[in-house]
Amino acid sequence: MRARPRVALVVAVFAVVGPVVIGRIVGEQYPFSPLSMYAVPGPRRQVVLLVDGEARPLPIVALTGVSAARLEKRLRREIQREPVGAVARTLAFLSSSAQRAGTPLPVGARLTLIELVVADGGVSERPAILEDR
Amino acid sequence: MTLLARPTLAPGEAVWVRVALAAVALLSLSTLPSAPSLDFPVGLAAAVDLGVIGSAAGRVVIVVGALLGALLLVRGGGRRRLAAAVGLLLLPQLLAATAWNSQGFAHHGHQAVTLALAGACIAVLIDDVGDESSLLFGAQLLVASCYLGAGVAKMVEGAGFAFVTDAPLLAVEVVKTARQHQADHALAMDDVDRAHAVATWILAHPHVARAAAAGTILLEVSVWLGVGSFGRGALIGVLVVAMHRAILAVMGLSFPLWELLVIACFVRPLAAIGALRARERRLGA
Repeated sequence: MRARPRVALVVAVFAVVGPVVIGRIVGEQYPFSPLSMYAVPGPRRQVVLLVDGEARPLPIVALTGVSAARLEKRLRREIQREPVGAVARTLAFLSSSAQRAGTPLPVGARLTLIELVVADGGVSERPAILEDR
Repeated sequence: MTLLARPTLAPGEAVWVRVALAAVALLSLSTLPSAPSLDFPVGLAAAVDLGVIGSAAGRVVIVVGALLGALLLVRGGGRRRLAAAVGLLLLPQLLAATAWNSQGFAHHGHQAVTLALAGACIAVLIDDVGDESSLLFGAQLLVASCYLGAGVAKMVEGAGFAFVTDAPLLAVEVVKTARQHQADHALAMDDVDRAHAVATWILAHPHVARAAAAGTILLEVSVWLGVGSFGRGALIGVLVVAMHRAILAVMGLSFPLWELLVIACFVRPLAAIGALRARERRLGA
């Protein structure tokens, strides 16, 4: 840097450490982030699926452009904001995404949940009911 | 050993730095389709309505601005031209990625690209030299910061070393990502069955999982050691890319933008070729 080398080193250290501290303080505020993905391993996880009226899985990416991973994050954020109606709002988001993609969701499309649990030396899958409160 | 110093560029590497930064930024933008809704605004979107970014006109402005920035960056120039070009490239990428991340799901690869461009832009403005080595220096510092942040999160949020001690539980993430991929395209269950087998193996070999987790944290918090030094940077860069590839193989999670940033900023293929040629000359002399 233009100033003395010691100042340049301080600036460089700040450039490395500063965004880490800011991300920890402000949370997910783009472009800063606490980068906490996969930071805390746990024995239970959930997968949210888009299915048709007969509970058959629908190809969510082709229909909506939204992946199952993003669907799960979106639903979690909706629940954090307001649990009542969170599932319906998430489905409405998917429906609008599908409309934009020119591939409307089939009638009766809904969300279901699979719980993944570490048990008996493996991971078991347990279908769970996903309903709005 | 000099730490956190501006890197010395190999012959021809100035062009590489400009082209690589432009390419990574454009690749990031190309994977950011218009956001249909900004229901969970983050960053700039919390203060300014970025809804226009999702419109057809907004998309045209974003794409044209980024292409112009990329062209100016590839063309090169002095301090001000480089800063202006990176800034012009940064702004559309920042706006589009902020809008995309305001839909309730984050994508941290775009974040790393934004920060690397911002670091390059600021460094070329305030550094003594103000050339491509300054661009690379700034980008290296911010990419290292992103990895440090990921390592710190694992230690802070895991309340110590839970990420390491509980690492066998990452087996459930293996099945989760496979199940999500299967759900994405309504595929057959073959990959999910394979993921269950991998998860069972991980749970049966907890010390292997813990060693891999410890290695991951150690590598993430060590990336900054590669800033400024081609040798250390290339070694750490190759290890980081190998880490991402191992995660892809086991968990099915890909990190293309992170890998490209590390290759562009730390592995530095042109510097490696330059170093090999210099070695040949020394041996031939």
